[in-house]
Amino acid sequence: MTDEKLAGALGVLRTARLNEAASARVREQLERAWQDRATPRRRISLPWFVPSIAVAVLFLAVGLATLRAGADSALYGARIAVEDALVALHTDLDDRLDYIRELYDERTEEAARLEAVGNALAAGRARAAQDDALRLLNATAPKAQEPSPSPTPETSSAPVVLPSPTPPAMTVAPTTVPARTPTVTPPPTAPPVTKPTPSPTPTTFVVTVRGGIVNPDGSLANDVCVSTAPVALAPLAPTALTTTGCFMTATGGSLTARIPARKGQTITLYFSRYDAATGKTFRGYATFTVTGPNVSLGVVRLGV
Amino acid sequence: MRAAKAGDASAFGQLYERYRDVMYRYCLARTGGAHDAEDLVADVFLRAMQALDRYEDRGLPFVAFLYRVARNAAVDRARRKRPDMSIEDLPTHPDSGQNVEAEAFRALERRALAAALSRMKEEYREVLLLRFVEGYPAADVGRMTGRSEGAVRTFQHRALGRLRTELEKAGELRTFDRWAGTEVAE
Repeated sequence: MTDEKLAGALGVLRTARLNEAASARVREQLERAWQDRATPRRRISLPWFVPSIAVAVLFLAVGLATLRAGADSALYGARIAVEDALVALHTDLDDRLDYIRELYDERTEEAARLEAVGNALAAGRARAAQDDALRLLNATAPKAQEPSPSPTPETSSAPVVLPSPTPPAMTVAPTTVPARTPTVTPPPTAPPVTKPTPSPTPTTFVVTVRGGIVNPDGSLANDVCVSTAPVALAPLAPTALTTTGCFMTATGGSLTARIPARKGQTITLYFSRYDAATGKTFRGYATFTVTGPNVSLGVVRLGV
Repeated sequence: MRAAKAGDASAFGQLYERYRDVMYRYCLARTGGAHDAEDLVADVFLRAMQALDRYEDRGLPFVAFLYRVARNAAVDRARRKRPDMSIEDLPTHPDSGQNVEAEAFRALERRALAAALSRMKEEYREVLLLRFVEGYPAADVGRMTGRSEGAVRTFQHRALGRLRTELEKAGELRTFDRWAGTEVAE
């Protein structure tokens, strides 16, 4: 068969047509598709800023959820990372220290709360975050030279808790245990007397001091002025912070203080509380030697 | 075409009515079976609808755009499913109810041609359809396929040779004996 014949034979395909039933099915599909195609066009016609706002809201929601994530949340790690990163935004040293202290307090409270409800895993994470904040605090705390503890009399490495009817002589802290021998109640169990041997250039770091403060009747003391030197509280100013010399106020019988110190340094903290009802000022103090980043004072009972 | 691109559904409907048989013949030659060809036609026009926004008028007829869409649709379809080479479902569409015997012959020829074309290379099949089924001049086919007129003629010669071979292999060549003396399209 020649090319001419074959080409002519191909013409028979011209009679092939899409039958009407099939054509109707195709037309129906096309109509549906046309309507579907028209719908997204309406969506695209939204104002240009709507997607931007939606994305911003989404980011905001995720950010807030992250910053509010508890230690029992999967976002807690992200929250800690963000909070730690925000330290860099506080250019002022005092602001930065305040911010880190807030972080530390929040994490401490969170750990305590989670421990109270028995969520050990989450509490562990909060404790780890708390340690993280403490490390930051140590790294950020000023390395200012403090008065040298030497010459240092023999001091006890164990904290000494003293009810003090009369405060010791007004000395500038940090200081050593007053020369007089106060009565210790309960009697100290002859703690090993050590002579601090600070290194020639001891490093200053932040020490967390914890303890309890109770009134003479054993009740938890509130509004207790904490200072590194005895202070005189004004009768009309029961809140210790209103009195010059108080670096913090302890409430609810609990003390958590962070103070810069050097290893081996002996420090005395003074506590005083003005009782408006009786017009009396209750006082107490405790002396301890810094051996590490955490010091426990035990319970300090205030006296008149 | 511009109206359809602007969102006029009836304009797209008109395009469908105008080109549905052209596309059907292409799809029939591509798949070798009526049912598959019908499905492929639907796929071609759906794709064309989705591609309307991207369509640019470069001076080529709309059918060239449809052929391109059809080629891609056929390739994708072949990837998803082995082409059904059965031609048992090839329907006949009698032009006239008066000459049943002649129509039966044409139906046999259509089956044989569609089956043979479906086994050929895409380029050969396309040039044969455009030249001898749709009747486009060689110059127009060249513009649509991106070839020179001379290249189209060379291609059509090779394609006819290949079609003859396919028909011979299938034992269908004698079906076309009645075409002796037919003029070739110019």
